[in-house]
Amino acid sequence: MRTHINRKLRAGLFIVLSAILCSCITSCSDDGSEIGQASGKAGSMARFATTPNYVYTVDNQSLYVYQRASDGSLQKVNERKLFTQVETIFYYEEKIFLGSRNAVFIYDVNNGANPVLLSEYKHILSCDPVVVKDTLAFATFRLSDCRLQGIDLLEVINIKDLQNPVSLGLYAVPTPYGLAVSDNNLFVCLGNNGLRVFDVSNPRNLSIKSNHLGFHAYDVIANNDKLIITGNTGIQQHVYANNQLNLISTLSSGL
Amino acid sequence: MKTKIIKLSLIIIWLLLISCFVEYGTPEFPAGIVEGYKPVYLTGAEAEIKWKSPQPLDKPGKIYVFQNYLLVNERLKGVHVYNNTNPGEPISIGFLQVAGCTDMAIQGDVLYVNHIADLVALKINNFQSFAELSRIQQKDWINQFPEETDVYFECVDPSKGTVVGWELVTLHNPTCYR
Repeated sequence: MRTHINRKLRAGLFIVLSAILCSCITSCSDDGSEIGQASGKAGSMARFATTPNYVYTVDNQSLYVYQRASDGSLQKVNERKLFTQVETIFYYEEKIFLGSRNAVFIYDVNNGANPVLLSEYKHILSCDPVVVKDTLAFATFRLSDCRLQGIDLLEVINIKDLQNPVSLGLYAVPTPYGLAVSDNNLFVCLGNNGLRVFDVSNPRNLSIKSNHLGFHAYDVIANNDKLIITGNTGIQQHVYANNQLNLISTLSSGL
Repeated sequence: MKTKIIKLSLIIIWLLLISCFVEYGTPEFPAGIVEGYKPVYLTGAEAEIKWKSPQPLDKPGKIYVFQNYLLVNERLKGVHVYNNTNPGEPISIGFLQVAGCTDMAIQGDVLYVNHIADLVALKINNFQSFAELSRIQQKDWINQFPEETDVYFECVDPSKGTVVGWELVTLHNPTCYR
């Protein structure tokens, strides 16, 4: 009986490994994005990140640092070779986060011209939108492209110690794309499955507050109770209150 | 019984692996009608950055909020600007034509966008007009191939102009793959 279970376990492990292997050879075309501060927001397939004094860009090989002159024009001040292809960059509170195919690199940009690598957080996949709130990072992994359904995930990561990020939990969510966090609400776009709202007040145990179906959701910006959601049909603005999503305007696309 | 389970497991693993590699590893030609990438070409008139009257949304990409403005990227074409003081009624105030644009960010009164293969800084002048402040070429921002791998794509025809990006469409018998 015991060996029987072991074999089953082994078979299960093989299936999981196959799934991971499959995910590794799958490429992504995600374009979700996330909220930033003061000046606006950045994106998960972002080409550059701006801070009050610097602009950072990534290409296939390097991270580039440009200093902003008083008029806003740019001058290159530094270049760092990257050892992997970075697909996305965003800025949050003196840190820049670079998303590669299999990890997120966190740089301290306190000394703007000289980014310092703090840590590397290994992922399963790359095309993962990430949002950050205080000491928490939320990332979605979408493996459905591989046609192995049911292993799309939302991960909560404690980044209090940036040199040692720790996973706090994994949650199954269908076809996740962009996400946004505001107060204790985490808004996760689920493509054709609409929008799901989590309560993140206990980061070790997220709870679902509400699900909203009937529209395609690809990306979201949250500003207190106001949401801007993009999807296949255009851009919708909502007010989220008392677990209800109230549509207040629509900009239709593809007319 | 045990050997049956082993065999069954092996078959499942084999099928899983095959399903992955067959799908993504070896392209088949003719491909028939498949999803794939099509190059978006730049024509002369679209090359310059230009502030225009409001345009309808077609393929919205990234969204960006700045003060009471809502910026919406029109994929590979430019940026729609809305006055969003009242989110119940966003008012389109214009369209900034920026070929190849997929990303934008504002700091102070300066908009940063990717224009073809350049990172460009534009003074926004309250969205009345735009003035170019600097332009820096990013050598790897333009790909002659789609960024994704294991995909079919329409082969580039240089006579049609410069490729500014790729869009996912349904292709009929594409002859390129990577």
